[in-house]
Amino acid sequence: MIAMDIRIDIPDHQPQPLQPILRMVNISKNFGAVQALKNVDLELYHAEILGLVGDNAAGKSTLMKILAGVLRPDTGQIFIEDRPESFKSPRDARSMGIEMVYQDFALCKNMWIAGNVFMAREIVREIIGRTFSVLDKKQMADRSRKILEEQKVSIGSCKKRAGELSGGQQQSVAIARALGFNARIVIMDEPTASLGVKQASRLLEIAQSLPQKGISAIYISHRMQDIFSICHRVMVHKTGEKVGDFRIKEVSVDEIVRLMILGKQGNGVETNSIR
Amino acid sequence: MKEKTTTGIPEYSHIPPERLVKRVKIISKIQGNMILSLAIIILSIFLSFKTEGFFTTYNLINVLRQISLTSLMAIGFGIVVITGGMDISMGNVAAMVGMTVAGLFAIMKVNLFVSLVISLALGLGIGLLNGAVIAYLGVPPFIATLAMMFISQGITFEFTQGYPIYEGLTSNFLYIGQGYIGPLPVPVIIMIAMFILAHFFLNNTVLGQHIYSIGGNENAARVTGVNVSRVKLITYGISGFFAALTGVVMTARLGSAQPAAAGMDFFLTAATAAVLGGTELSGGVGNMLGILLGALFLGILNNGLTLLKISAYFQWIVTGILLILAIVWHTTQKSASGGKY
Repeated sequence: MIAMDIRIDIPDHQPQPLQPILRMVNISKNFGAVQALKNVDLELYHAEILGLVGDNAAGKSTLMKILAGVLRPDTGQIFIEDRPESFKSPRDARSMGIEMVYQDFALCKNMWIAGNVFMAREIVREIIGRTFSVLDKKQMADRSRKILEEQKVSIGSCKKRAGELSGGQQQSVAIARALGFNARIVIMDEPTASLGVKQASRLLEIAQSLPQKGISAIYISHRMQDIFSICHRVMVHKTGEKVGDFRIKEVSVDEIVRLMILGKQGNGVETNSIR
Repeated sequence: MKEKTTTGIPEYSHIPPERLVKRVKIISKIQGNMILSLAIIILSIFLSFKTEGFFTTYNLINVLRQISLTSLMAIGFGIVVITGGMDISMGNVAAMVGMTVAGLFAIMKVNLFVSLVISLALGLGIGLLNGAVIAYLGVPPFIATLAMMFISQGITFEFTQGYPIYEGLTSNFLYIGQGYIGPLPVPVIIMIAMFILAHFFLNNTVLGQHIYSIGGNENAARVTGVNVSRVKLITYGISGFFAALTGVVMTARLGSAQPAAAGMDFFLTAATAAVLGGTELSGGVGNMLGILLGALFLGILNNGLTLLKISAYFQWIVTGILLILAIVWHTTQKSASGGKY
């Protein structure tokens, strides 16, 4: 087997990245007898889009849920700009600028748009100190509209319920929730899976524009054309293990697919560490 | 040009589709509280003509007083149901707290204020215990509160041996259930105050928003950082508090603490009011105005049927039929609007 030494080529538009913005080291996670992740490492650089691919049950979503604070790893550590972090809840991860856009959008369709955008980050007016404060609905609505306008989305009134919106509009709300609050790392889990062709290409545009805003992204998808059109680097998972990590220009779709199916024995391509 | 489609919705061929969609949305929006308000108005007009004495200040205040106790319980029940939860222990907790307040005040001669505080705190504590079992031990709400229903019923009967307490409940205590402030009975004022408070809480506080978010999509609430377990804990605390408040006011209103005064029957009436008022048992949908209207509708209906000299048993039949009709109406409206809220 040939071991390839692949070094990451930092995209042209970004500043000198001396260190990764994110390092996940030796992450393992078991669900009962099932080992979902086996000593997985992940690095993400400033203003980089990392594609994460793998067959079903490869552990991609588990790894991302750990990063988003939804799950806690059994072993391993997360470093944000070389500082060790431990996320006890999604709130902790979000406070560090880590946001996730879920495949099903994770919206509360019974609630108004601004309520969804500001969920768990509500703007309040203090009446009697912090213990008694009320929602500042006007500001929530105004700021939600502004965030959505920045995405070139017009939804009309932010007082509408999320369930009244079309699929594409709902995703815009989900993205607004992720991008509206100084995000540093955005995780996108199969974001185009439930979208039409036009909406999917708009989403790819949004994802592609993230590095220019200084945001790094991890993009999970089964669609190789998406991965190859927007990602700078791609990481392959197979049954809970990392089996490949490549600069996108130096790998072909075939090689990736072979690795996804056959793992390390794929086609002579060895797992590569990018350090 | 109007023809029936296979879905049963009339098709207006001359109206552009986007306007039709808008119309369906408007209809589905007005369905809840508006339909209930209309039903109340029609029922009231009907009863005004058919009975003597329905449309009198005395009778209307009487209706309000009758609904005040079920409404207090329905408020707490509604808040729990909005999270997608369930608290069937409320009736028995109300009975237990009703006995407790009488026991403290009338038998143990504890100061009125202290008796009230201890009793309401007991309800709150039981609710929090329910919440802890549900939120942190993962027991389904129905089972957890069913268990609490048996426990509270057992405690009530074990301590009272089924005997009521009626001696020693002096006028300062009875004022809570029988007094007036101006023309309005105190229980009605408590009910109105609690409706306003609960409405404000649900619509204008972070916790209120989180209650709706958990009922709408618990997973979404969790992954965005809502502390789901804590919110559930507090919510059951709230329902326990409202059960306790109902129990206290009931004891004061009846002038005696009856171990079987509240219970499953009473609880189910409160639940009916909440469901008639548009509270969805699947969670995420419901509001205080709807619950008030639901209780008011039930109150007027029962009052009217009594004035029409129709038996109490028949009233149950009518309530049952109405409940089914309300749910069917609601489901039809929801599917007409494409299942959207």
